[in-house]
Amino acid sequence: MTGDPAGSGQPLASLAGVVKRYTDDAPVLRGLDLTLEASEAVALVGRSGSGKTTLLNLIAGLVTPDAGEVRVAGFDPARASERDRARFRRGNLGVVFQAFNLLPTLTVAENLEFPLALAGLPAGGRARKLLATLGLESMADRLPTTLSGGEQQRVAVARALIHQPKLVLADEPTGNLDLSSAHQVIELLVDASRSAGAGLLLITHSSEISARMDRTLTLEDGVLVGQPAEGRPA
Amino acid sequence: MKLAKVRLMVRASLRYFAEHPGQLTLAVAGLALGVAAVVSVGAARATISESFARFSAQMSGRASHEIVAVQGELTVAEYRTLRERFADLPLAPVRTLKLRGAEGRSWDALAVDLLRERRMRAFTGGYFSADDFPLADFLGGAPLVLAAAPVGTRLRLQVPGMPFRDVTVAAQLDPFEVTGADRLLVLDLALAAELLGSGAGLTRIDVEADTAQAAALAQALPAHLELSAVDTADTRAMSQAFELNLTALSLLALLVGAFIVFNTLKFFVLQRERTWAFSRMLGLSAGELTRWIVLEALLLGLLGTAAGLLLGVLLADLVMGQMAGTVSQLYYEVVTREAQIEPRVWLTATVLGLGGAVVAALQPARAAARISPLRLQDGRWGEEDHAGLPRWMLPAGLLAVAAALALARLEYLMTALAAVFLVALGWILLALPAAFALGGRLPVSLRQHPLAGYARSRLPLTVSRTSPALAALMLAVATVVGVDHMIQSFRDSVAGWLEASLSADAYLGGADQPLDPALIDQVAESAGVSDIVRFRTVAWPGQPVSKLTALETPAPVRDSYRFLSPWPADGWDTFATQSEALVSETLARTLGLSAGDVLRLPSGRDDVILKVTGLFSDYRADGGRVVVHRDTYRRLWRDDQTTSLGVYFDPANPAAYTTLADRLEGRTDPHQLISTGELRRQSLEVFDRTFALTRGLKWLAAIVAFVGVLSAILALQLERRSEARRLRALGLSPRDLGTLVLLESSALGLLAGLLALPLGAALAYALTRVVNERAFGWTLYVDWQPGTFAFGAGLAIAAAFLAALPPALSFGRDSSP
Repeated sequence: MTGDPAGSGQPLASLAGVVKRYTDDAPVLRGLDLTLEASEAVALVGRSGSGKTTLLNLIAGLVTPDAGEVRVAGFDPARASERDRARFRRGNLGVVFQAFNLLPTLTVAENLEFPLALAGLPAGGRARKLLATLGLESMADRLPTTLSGGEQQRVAVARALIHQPKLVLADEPTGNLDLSSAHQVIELLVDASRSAGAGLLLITHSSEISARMDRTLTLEDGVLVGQPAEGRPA
Repeated sequence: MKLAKVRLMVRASLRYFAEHPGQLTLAVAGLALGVAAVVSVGAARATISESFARFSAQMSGRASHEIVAVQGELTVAEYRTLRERFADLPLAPVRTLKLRGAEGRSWDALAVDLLRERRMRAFTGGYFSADDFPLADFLGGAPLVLAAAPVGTRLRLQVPGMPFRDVTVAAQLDPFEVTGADRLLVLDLALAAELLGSGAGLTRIDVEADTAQAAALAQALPAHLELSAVDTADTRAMSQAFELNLTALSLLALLVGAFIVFNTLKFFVLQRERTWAFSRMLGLSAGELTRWIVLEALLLGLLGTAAGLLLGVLLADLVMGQMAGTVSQLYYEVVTREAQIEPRVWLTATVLGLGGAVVAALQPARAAARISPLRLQDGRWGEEDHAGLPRWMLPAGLLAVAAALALARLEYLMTALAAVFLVALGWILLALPAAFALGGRLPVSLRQHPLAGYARSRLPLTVSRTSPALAALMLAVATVVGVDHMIQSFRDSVAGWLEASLSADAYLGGADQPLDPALIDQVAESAGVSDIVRFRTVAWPGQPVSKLTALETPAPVRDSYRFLSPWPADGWDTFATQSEALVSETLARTLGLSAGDVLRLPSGRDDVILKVTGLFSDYRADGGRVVVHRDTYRRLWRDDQTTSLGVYFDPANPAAYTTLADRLEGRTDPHQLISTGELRRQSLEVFDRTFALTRGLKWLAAIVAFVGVLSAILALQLERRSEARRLRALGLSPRDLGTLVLLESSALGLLAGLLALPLGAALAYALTRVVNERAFGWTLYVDWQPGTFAFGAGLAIAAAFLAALPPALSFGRDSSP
């Protein structure tokens, strides 16, 4: 079910000729091509309504394309059942949203244990170890509602990485944060993804943040324009 | 699911419950009340069944048949002859008698032969071989008795009218083992004969015989004796019908409790949509999410069931006392003790509690599983886009009503109860779409009243979102209306019958021995007594014809009969001169008799054949009755004794009753004088006690339904938080929002109340005319009461209004836009 592109020479994610429309109106994505390499950090920018979130949803298997092909870590979400798509997400993806979306009735440590439990991976102190690595160990036993926005988003980043996903999808993760907190979260997200060897696809409106990525893609009128990966189309 | 995952889910759920103590308490309390009702009624039923088994064993022991005198007396000499002739058959002689203590206390005495008892009845026969029991003295006629008093206790006893005799308690009866032990005495036949005076006969001889032996024995009996099979099934069936009513109500309470769990879980699911969506994003599958919600339901179920079992234990004694009192007064003695709940009752209540919670969770769980992770991005939390009810409701409702009408035609109690259930189900399925359609058509426009008009526009959606709670409310209101009508109609029927059938001003009787002719003369001659009517009643316990009454038929007696069959103008004239009989409705149903049929009854030598000329209303609980004219009885049974008297007073002499009571004061016979007013009062008291618990359970169902509506309204307002924000942005004040909630909820209550009334009427008719007719064999007439209907509708509106108060007040206090 889940592919392993590491060392196989295969890209982490590839989208070819993807078309997606929600109504009979013009498609949101029109023949989009994209390749993401393993461990690559990519910024995705574009105007509101340009299809950035739709692109993320396609990669996450939350929506399926009307035409074209999507493969992520060797997995084709369009041809899989809902159950298999859920299994694919829990094993391969980490997600961070603008809203922190921590589970409010689980402690910080338990929020990190939850994806591990879903993926059937042993917890074995991994959550606390990661929290310590990220400097969040003092929050381990606190409930999310007692944390500041910046703290919650740092925990959300930790949760996205705890099960060592191949790809982290981040949808404007700093949108709800002040400048200082935003800076901390991006530092954490980029550094932790890199050290975990995970790819990162991040939607942002900030040129400062996109400057920290390996490359930046711009979505315009349903197609990507911008810096192609070395030797590959955008 | 993996253990680590389940552990985290349980932990998250428990913390969430703890953060919502109000909703948690509602759900747990609703379920607990339902489970408690099932436990307490189940425990009481078990005790009553146990008492019936004891009652049956005590009354008949191993006896399959009994020999009784249908005319004259069953003598000890006749018993001895039979014993010699049928030496291999277990025969046990029994004499029942009333004894009075020196302090005025009354005892029911059972005189037996312990030697014969050991093969017939365990509770008396056991003393034959008990080590510390003075058997030889007892059998020798020594003044020894068995009683529920310490060994050695001395008692002064007499048969009323006979000298006192000192007796000693030789063994103590266990009140928990022997039904009615506190007023029972067991003594030897010889001692009984001594107390009664010489020539005292037997009441019956109990026999254990197979069919062939019984046939041989019946052939050998003298003409005035009869062998009949022992049958207590009728008594048990009557009691079971009463118990079944209560069980049905307890299950109704549980059903409504499950509705509350449903609403609570729906509330819990809606409030955590974001959590579910993100969990789905993290990779939680729809199936796993469904199981998570079911797991939460199980947790709630565990809490509610545990609380319900505990509450059930506390309530069991109360319910048992009520039910046992009723059954004791109406059917047979029930010995109560501290509630002992059988494992079967525990298991049933637990399975129903947990099962109810899980079933209630299925729809909310499916709703949660449908939540897409994409909802994380659209920001429309807790909003339902469409209103609607499933299309199958209408045809399913019609089908259920049609099935109910078909079942109601069958002559069984269970089919009648099933018909009542189907009527309720069918109507609810029809009423919800009706409420949906009517909701949007209420004549209030936005222009007339913006808030009321807006509330009206939301009603169809509200009906579809609160349909389970609305169904529960309608069911509760209909139950209140139906049960109230049933009880009141029943009471009115019985009161009317008592009024009409007790035509005399006072009655003298109540003992199982005939009235002394001198006493009858004494009554007739008392100042102010204008007339007396003699009754001769013969009892055949356990037989379809359990009592035969022979009476004189002066005008007041004639007027006291309500006939259910055509009664000719000269009916009473031929009744007095021909071999004719009137039969009670219960008997007519049991034997399938109608006017013109022939009835065969035992008498002295040959069976008596009577023509049934009339069926009359009779609400006595002691089975089938036959009434013949006193002259007919005298002629066919050759018996001129009188067992009770109806006494008529001169209206011009208001002191006539007191004069008679004074005149009879101090006499020694066991018969009692009672005024008709007192007799009616006592009868209605028994009636009210019978239905006290039914009334209680009816209100329990109504309370649980109210809690259901409260929980549904709370959930609904939670769903509409974003709509409330938009309305605030449009300029509505917090107070306006509160008013909107109240208006909408009250309109919902009005719809529920109005739509529940036809069902209430149908339930009233079904319970009164169908179920009770099957259960008791009595025709009752529905006494329609507009006040009860108005009360039902008001109850629905009040419940919905009160349920909306907490969210309305909460909106009213909220100052943030």
